[in-house]
Amino acid sequence: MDKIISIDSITKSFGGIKAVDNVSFFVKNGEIKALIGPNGAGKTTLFNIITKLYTKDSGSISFMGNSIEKYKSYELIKLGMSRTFQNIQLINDLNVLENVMLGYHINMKSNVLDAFLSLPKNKKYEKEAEKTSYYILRFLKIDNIEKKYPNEIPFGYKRLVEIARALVSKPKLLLLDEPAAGLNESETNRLLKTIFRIWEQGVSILLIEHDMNLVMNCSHSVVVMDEGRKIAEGPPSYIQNNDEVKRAYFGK
Amino acid sequence: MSQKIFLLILFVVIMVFGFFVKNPFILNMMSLAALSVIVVTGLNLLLGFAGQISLGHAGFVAMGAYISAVFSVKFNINPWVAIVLAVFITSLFGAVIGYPTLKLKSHYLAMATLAIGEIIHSVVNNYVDLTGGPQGLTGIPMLSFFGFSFDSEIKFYIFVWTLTFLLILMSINLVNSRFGRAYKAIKSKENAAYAFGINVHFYKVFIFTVSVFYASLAGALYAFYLGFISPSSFGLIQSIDYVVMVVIGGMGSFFGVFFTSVILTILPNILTSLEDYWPIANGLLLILAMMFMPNGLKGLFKWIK
Amino acid sequence: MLGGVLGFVLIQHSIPVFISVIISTIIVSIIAILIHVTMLSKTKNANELSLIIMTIGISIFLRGVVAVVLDKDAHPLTPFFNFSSVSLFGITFSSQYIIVICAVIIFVGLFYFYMNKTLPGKIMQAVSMNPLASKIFGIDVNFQQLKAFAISGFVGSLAGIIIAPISFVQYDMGVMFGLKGFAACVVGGFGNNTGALVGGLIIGIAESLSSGYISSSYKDLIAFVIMIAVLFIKPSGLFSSEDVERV
Repeated sequence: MDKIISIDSITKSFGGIKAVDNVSFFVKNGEIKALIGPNGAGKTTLFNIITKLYTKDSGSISFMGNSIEKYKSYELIKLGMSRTFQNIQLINDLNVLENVMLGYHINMKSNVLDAFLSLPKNKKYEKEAEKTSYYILRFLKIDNIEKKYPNEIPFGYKRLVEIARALVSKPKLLLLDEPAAGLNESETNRLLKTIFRIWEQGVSILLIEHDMNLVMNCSHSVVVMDEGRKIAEGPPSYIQNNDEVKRAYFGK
Repeated sequence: MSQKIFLLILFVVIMVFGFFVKNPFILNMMSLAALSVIVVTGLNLLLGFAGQISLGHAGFVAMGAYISAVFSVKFNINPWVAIVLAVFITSLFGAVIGYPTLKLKSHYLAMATLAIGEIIHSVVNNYVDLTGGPQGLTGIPMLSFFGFSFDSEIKFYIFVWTLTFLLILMSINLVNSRFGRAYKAIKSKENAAYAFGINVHFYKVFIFTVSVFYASLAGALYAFYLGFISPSSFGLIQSIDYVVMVVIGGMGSFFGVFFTSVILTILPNILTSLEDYWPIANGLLLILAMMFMPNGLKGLFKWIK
Repeated sequence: MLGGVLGFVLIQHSIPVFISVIISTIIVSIIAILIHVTMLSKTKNANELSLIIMTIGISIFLRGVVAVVLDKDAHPLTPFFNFSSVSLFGITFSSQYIIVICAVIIFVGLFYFYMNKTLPGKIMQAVSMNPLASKIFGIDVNFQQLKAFAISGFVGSLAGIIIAPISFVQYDMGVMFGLKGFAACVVGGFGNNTGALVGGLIIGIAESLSSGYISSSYKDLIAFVIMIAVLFIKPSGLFSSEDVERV
C-alpha cells in the first residue's frame, strides 16, 4: 500500500462550467505533493470534493486502499485525513489552545452525560486533549500564544494554529489549502521548515499553493491544474521546464 | 473568578434571600422567575452557544405543562411520574420535529420554529376535551414528596431554585467540555466544523432536544406550582420574551441571561398596569440591543472565567 | 398587518376605499424605508442572526403599538365592492375574493416580469445572491436592499388591506399569513416563484379539504404539517435545485 490517497477521474461542474474535469493523481505514502495552478483552476474545489464538502459528479477517491464513497465529511478525520482552510477558520470565541483542542474532538471518548455531570471520564479526556494540544503547539514553536484569542495574534500565527489544529488528531494525510497565502518572506520560510518537520513525523502532505518558491523547495512531486484539467505532473524540476505549465501561467 | 464559584455564591444569596423574605407574593414571583431561568438557560444553549434560533419555545413549555397536567388530572397518574412522562414525551417530540427543522438556516429556521410554537398553541386551544381549551385547565394537584407537601411558598422556592442551579451547573459543564467547543465551532464556522469530525446536523438536533428538555421541565413544574394553566401563558409573545431574555443577557453568558430572565419575569408582574406596553418595550429592547449592544450584558460578567 | 390596520382606520373615517388603499400603502412603504435607514443599515457588526432578532424586535414593537393605539379586538371591514357575493359555476363566494385573486395574478406577473426581464430586477437578484461581487461592479447594495425592503413593505400592506374584509382587522393578523406564505415557500422550494405558487395551491387545497373532512378547528395546522412533512422528505423543497456554499 504505497498510495495514501488516490484520486481517480474526478469531475465536478457548477451550472455547466466544469470546475474539475476528469482529474486523476495519487499521493504516495510519506510524500509531499503540491497541487498548483492559476486562480480558478479548480484546486480548492478538488480539495472540497476530497473532504466531501462538495459532492462530485463522477469519479472515485480511495484513501489507504479503501474507497471513501460511503463516508460523510465529518467521518474522514477518523480515517486519518485532516485539513486546513484557505480562509482562516479559527473560532473567535475559543482561545488558541481550545481551538487546537477542537481538532482533538473525535479522539475524546467522553459522552454527553460525562460532560453534563463533569464526570471523571470527561476530566480525563479534557486533560489528555490539553496535553496533546499543548505538545503540538510546542512542536510548532507557538506555545507562547496558547492563552491568546485568534483576533489577538498576527496572521502568520493564525496559519500555524490552523495547522496545529489539523495535526492534533494525528492524521496520516494532511491537506493544506494555501498555507503560505498572506505570509511574508520570513513567515514563509518558517512555514517551509514546519512542513518538513511535520513530514519527518511520517505524515503525508498534499498542499495547494501559489508560492512557487515554497512548492519547488518542499514538494517531491507536483500536479498542475488549469481550467479544471490536470495539465502536468512530475518532480519540481520537470514542472519548471514544462511548456504547457508556462503557457498556463504566463499565457502564450 | 471561576464560573462555578460565582454560581455557588449566587445560590447562597438566593437561598438566604428566601429565608429572610416572608412575603409570599415576592417568593411566588421569584419561583416563577426560577422557571423562566430554566427555560432561558436551555434556550441559551441553543441560541447563545450553537447559534440556532427558536421562536417556538413557549410551545414546548406548554407541552410540558399540559401533558403532565392532563396525565395527572384526567388519568390520575402520580404527579412526579406525570412530570417525567411529560418531559420525556416532549423531548422526544422535540428531537423528532428538530430533525427536519434544523436542516433550515437563519430566518427560515426562525419561521419554522415559530410555526411549531403556533401549532402546539393551536392544538392546546382547540383540543377542548383534554385541555379545557381557552378556559384553561384547573384542579392540578400540588406536588408532594413522600408525604412532604410543597404547600408553602418557601418550600417550592427552595426546591425550584435548587433544581435551577443544578441545571445551570450542568449547562456550564457541557459548555466547558468538548461539546461546548464543538457548538462554538458550529455557531461561527459551520463548514469547518465538519472537518473536525463534528456531525453538525446531529449536534444541532441534540442541543435543540436539550433545550426542549429544559423548557418542558419548567412547563411541568409551572403547571403543578400554579395548579391552573391556560393557553394564553404560552403564546408567541412568550416565546419572543424568552429570546429577549437571552439576547439582552448576552448570548452565551449564563449569568447575564440569569439576571435578565429574573428581572424581565418580575417587572411585568409588578407593573401589571403597564401590561399592554410590554411588547413595545420588548421590541425596543431587542432593536436597541442589536444596534448598540450586540453582546448584551455579557460584558458585565467578563471577569468570570 | 399595518396596511390592513391603517386602511381600516382610514376607511372608518369615511375616506373612500381607493384613496385609503393608496394612502396606507404609501405610509407603510415610508415606514419600511425609515426602519431600514434608521435601524437595519446602522446595525453594528450585523450578522444574519442579529438581523433576524432585530426584525423580530421591529415586528413585536409595531404589533405592540397597534395593540395600544387601536385595541386587541378583531374589527370587521366591509368588502370594497357594494355587491357582497358572486356566484360562479354554482359556487358562491364573497366579492372580495375576486379582488384578492386579481391582485395575486397581477403581482405574480409583475414580479416575474420585473425580476427576470428588466435590468433593475436582475440587479436586485444579483445583490441578493452575492452582495460583495455586486459592490465590486459598482452597484449601490444598500440602496438595492432599501428598495427591496420598501417594495416588500408596499406589497405586504396592500395584501393586508385587501385581505382585511375577509379576515377581520386585528393587531396580530399578519402572523398566520406570514407563516402560511413561508410554509408555501418551503413546500415549493425557496427562490422559485413557480414552486411557491404551487406550494401555496397545495396548502390551500389541503386546508379546504381538511376543514371539510376532518374538523375546521385544525385548519390552520394543515399548512405546517405539510411543511414539516416536506422538510422530512425533501428539505430543499419540491421544485428546487441544490446550490453550493463556498468555503
